[in-house]
Parts: sequence; structure tokens; C-alpha cells
Amino acid sequence: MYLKAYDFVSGDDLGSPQVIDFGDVLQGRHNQRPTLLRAFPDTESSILDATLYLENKGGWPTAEFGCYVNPSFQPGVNPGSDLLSNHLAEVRDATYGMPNGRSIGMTDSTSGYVWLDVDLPTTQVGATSSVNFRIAYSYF
Amino acid sequence: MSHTGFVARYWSGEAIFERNGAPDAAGRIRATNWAEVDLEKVDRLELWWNGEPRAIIDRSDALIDLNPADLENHLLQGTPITDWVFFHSGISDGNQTSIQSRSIGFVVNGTRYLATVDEKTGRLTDTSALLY
Repeated sequence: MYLKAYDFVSGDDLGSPQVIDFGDVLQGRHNQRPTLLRAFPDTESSILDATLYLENKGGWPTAEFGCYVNPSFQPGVNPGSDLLSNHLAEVRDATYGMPNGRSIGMTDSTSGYVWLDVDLPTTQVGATSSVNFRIAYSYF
Repeated sequence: MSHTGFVARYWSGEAIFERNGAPDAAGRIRATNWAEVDLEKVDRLELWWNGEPRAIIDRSDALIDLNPADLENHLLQGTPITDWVFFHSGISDGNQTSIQSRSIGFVVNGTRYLATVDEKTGRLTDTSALLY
């Protein structure tokens, strides 16, 4: 499986990211740069039950992370959009089958488009945080 | 033999061993060679871990869960079991995937029976789940 990032305005392919960059995230505001991803089979003949988890590595203990999955590209899904209010629950060391994962709508050829969002409360003290988005899935 | 992965044994005595990163018929590299297995010929499916057979499923194990009508079809008409199951469970961080476990099993009467072996510890877990 590999990921591709897309421009949230145009839907243009931005290539395969190794790191997801939300841009600047300010207190009381959502991230400045929406993140839009899709997953694709690589060497797998078939992928089943692909589920996205959030592993917060610390620094933003009360930040909220939104997620929206749609089978096709949809313009206008901006940070703070109501569509992104379906939050991801933070888990530690996510494993296959663990609760609180979010299906990414995997078909034979691709997942759905996955938008990600961060909402940082005003009570949050400035910090550098690393967040790991992990996908658990079965394949052969 | 330090094999880890499935072994599909045919009626004929031929055995297909799991190979990871195997090319398919078109030369594309695949996660496994499960697609090579002719499911109609499988008499026994095994799951090995570090050279030890951790789970063995015979055709008779699958037949025992069939309802009487289906069992008669299998025994009298020789209908092969084709719903053998194999898959990896893995996690992807960024663009790197690591295997967590491997599973073998079969599906009969809408229920999937699985034997799963943890990739790190070799621990065996048996499960069944209603699919529909």
C-alpha cells in the first residue's frame, strides 16, 4: 500500500508523501493546510478492511483531529468544515482490528479520498507535536 | 526448514509454499503468491511459523461444518471446497507496511473460520465470524 496526497482545491496529484504536513497550526484555529490523501494497492493483490488510526505522539493532548472520507474528489472541504467534524479517536499502538479505526473505503484499486483536519484549542500551550496516521489492513 | 507462511497441499501430493514478493503471471511483484494456489485442488492448508506448523486445516475440518445437503453434494458429487482463505494483517506507517499476523481458514454456510498466527510471537488464535 502506498499513499498519494492531493491538492484540496484542484484535486491535483501531489505525489507520495512520507510525512503529512498540516502547515502552521495556531491556537483556537484549524490547520492552515488541509490534508487530502488516498491509499492504493502496491504489491498487494487485494486489500480488505483498511482502517485509519491516529497515534498522537504527544505535544497536543487536547487537540481534535477531524476526518472525512468520500469516494470521489469534492472541492470545498476546508479546515473547520462540518464535514470534518467526524473526529478520529486517538489510540496507542494501533493494531489490525482495534476499535476506533475509521474505514477509508478501500476498493480493489483505491481508497476513498481522505481529508484530515486539526483543531487546536485556545487552552493549548505551544508545542511541537508529532502525529502518526496509521492504516491497518488485511491483504495477500 | 525455517518457513513462515502458508503451505497449500494438493490431493496429488504437490505443495505450494508461500513466497513473499513473488512475481505474478504478468511479471508484477506481488505481496504473496496466494494467487498461484488452485483452490479446487487443495486438500490441506497449513500455516507455518519459523519452521513449525502452527495450524493445519484439512478438507474434513471444513466439511464437518457443512449442512447435510451441502455435505451430500461434497461427498457424492465431489464438489471441491473453493472458499479457502489466506491473508496477512498488516499496518502501514507512511509508506512502509509490516506484517502483524497471517491467517488461514475457510468459509462455509456464511461463516468464516480462521486460524491466525502472530508474526512476532507465533501465538495461535482460532476465531469464527458470521459473514452474512
